Amino acid sequence: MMLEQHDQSKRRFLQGLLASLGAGITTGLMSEKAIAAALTYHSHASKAPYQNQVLNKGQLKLLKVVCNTVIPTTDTPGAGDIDVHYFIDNQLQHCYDVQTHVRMRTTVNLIAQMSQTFHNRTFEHLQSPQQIALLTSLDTGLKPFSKTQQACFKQLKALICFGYYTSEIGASEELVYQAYPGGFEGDITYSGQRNYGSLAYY
Amino acid sequence: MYIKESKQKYDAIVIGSGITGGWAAKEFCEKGFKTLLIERGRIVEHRKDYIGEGKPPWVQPLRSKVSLSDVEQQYRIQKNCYAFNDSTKHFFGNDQDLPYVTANDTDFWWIRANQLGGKSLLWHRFCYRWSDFDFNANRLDGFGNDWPIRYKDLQRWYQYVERHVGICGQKEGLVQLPDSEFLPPFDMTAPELEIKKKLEKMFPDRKLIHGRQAHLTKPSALHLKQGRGQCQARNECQKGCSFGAYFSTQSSTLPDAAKTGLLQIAPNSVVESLIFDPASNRVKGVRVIDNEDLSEREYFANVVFLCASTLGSTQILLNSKNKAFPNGLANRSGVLGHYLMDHNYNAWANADIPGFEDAFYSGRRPGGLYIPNFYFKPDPKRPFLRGYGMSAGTYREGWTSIQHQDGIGLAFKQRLQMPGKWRFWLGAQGEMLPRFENCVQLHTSKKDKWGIPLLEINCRFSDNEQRMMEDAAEQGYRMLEKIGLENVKSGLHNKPPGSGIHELGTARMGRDPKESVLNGYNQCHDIPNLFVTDGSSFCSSAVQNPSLTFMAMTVRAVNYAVKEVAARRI
Repeated sequence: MMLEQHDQSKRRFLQGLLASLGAGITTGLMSEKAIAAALTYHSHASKAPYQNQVLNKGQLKLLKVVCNTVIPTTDTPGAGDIDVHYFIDNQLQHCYDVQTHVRMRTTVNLIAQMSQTFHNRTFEHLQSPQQIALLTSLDTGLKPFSKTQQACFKQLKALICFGYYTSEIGASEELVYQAYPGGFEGDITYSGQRNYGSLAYY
Repeated sequence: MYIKESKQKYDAIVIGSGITGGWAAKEFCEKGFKTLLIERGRIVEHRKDYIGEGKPPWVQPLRSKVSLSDVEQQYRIQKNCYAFNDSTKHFFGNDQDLPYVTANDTDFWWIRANQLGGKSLLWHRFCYRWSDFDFNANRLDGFGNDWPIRYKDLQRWYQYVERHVGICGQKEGLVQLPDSEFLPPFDMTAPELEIKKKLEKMFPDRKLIHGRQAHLTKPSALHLKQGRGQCQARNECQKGCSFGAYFSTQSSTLPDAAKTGLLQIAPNSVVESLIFDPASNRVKGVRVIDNEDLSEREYFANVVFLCASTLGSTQILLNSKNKAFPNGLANRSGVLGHYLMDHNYNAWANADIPGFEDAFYSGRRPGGLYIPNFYFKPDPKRPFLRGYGMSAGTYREGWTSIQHQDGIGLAFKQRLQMPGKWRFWLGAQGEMLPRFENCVQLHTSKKDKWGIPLLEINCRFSDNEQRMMEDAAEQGYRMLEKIGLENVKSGLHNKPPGSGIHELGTARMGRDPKESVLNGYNQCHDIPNLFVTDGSSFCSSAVQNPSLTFMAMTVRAVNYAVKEVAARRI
């Protein structure tokens, strides 16, 4: 349904653009076809296996489960389902310094280690409530986790959220994506609808 | 329309194609002048070259972020601009190619946009007229020289440019912020309407008004004729707008100039210096270095308009020194390069807005609200000179805020899915005093890749600006607390000059040739056929955004220059 809204929003943009510009536009500058082509969204999904960059394969396997624990599957996929763990690995490689790489590796290792300490099992093999409980302790800085460990996890959690809500599913299915809102309405009634996934700056 | 070599003598050369250069070119062409517009950067075609427009984050390799290596190597300064991201970075200058020096213990963020259209593609589009409180400010407290013009000199030119540009807003009848010719304003949100009511009641000297911006909320026939359409409220303006719904050179002035058939554009032409003829005491033309292959060429004209941005124009004048003008062209006064200003944006306040759970909105308003300067009348009891305006607005929290809260799992995902609480924010925009010691000069040895001496910038905010920002943070806190908002916070940033991207001064106007570079028509006192109409000509910064004022000044200057040419005085 949300994707449909997104497509409608795009169509409205094209119609609106051409209608509003009307006779003022010359064919040399633009045609409907050219604009439509320029706005075609290319999927960058690749079938080749992902090549890890900052985190090792074991860490990525665990991170996928962490992603799905933080943002689980509901009527829309969870963060792990849409490979946010791979997004994080790639984003760390390109946009973050080495100190952040170390912090994120340490945080993933800490989750693995604490899972063994508390439950004598890998994090991936814990029951869902145990996974939630462990991450909640880390997220809220409960003992034995330190403030520093909590802050590092908050940063990882923010990367999970960023990866999820800037993905097509996160932005346009879990939330509502207004590609071309058609104008600003300042006062409409809120009656439980999902929030917007379309933001001007991220 | 695009040229490289040209032997012809033009009626007018305009250097720079940003907001003022676009206007100068349009006006000259429409008055029948064969005009050459010189741009140091590449061509950016309207629509075709807006390569980031309409791209949602998921089709961007790093979801709107710019890679760390690109930031560190190419955009160390530019990254500080709020609008810098992967969809806009191609409209920012490359810091590696555009070095400058700052004096010891000073910092200056010089945000660059060297392409056709310049910063008209990247600006935040706020348009506020200045009042006589602004034009009288220097005279009254003695900082800086007296402006040679007053509101009445600009009034009809404000009106002229506003009709063409298209500015949304609402008439308020404020003495310190004269009304423009307005298109309808963007809506206020429900909490904004309530806050406006309370704030204006509890603080009778203050108003919370619609921001005034160059957006076509309801295009007129003139705007449609320009090929422009209605604003879609995407708030992604700096990626470029195929609707032409915000004013830029590409959307508005360039098409009109081109229609006359009298415009030629020399892109990729870095102006090295102006060619001065001592015998006639006139500028004959312009010497340029090719942006790409570094070859040299010259262009000639009867009149030259410098519209190369505040620091760009001054750098050209300084580098055009010769025997007659050993300290920089048109600089007999010795003030060229001095009295550099910006606006100070360092004070902020924000708070939670209780209630309004059933209020929502649609679209992304590309601007906000404004509290006009309430210190516009001088008061010796105030611990600082001049005043500040405040930008303001509400938003309803979403995932970018809620992600930092505690939470894991289903309940957290549900919270992230729904809008959170309403928030209100204020940001000050303070006037910076004109001071001789805030200045630029050419570096004695360092040069850029075009062989042009680097600019050395020596600029800092003074204690006056610091006290002003402390007051703004305090007043912001008081206002938000008194109108019943919750979790009120306020504070100060420590951003250096340049961060406001409103650099002004360094080739100021004035009545006295001994203390100013330009006369009241932006004409050089020393060289009659040379005009400077960008922000460098300003005598003070006021608190308002400067673009509308330098548009009006440019149009007025062209009108004057054309008459002077007709009278054979130029």
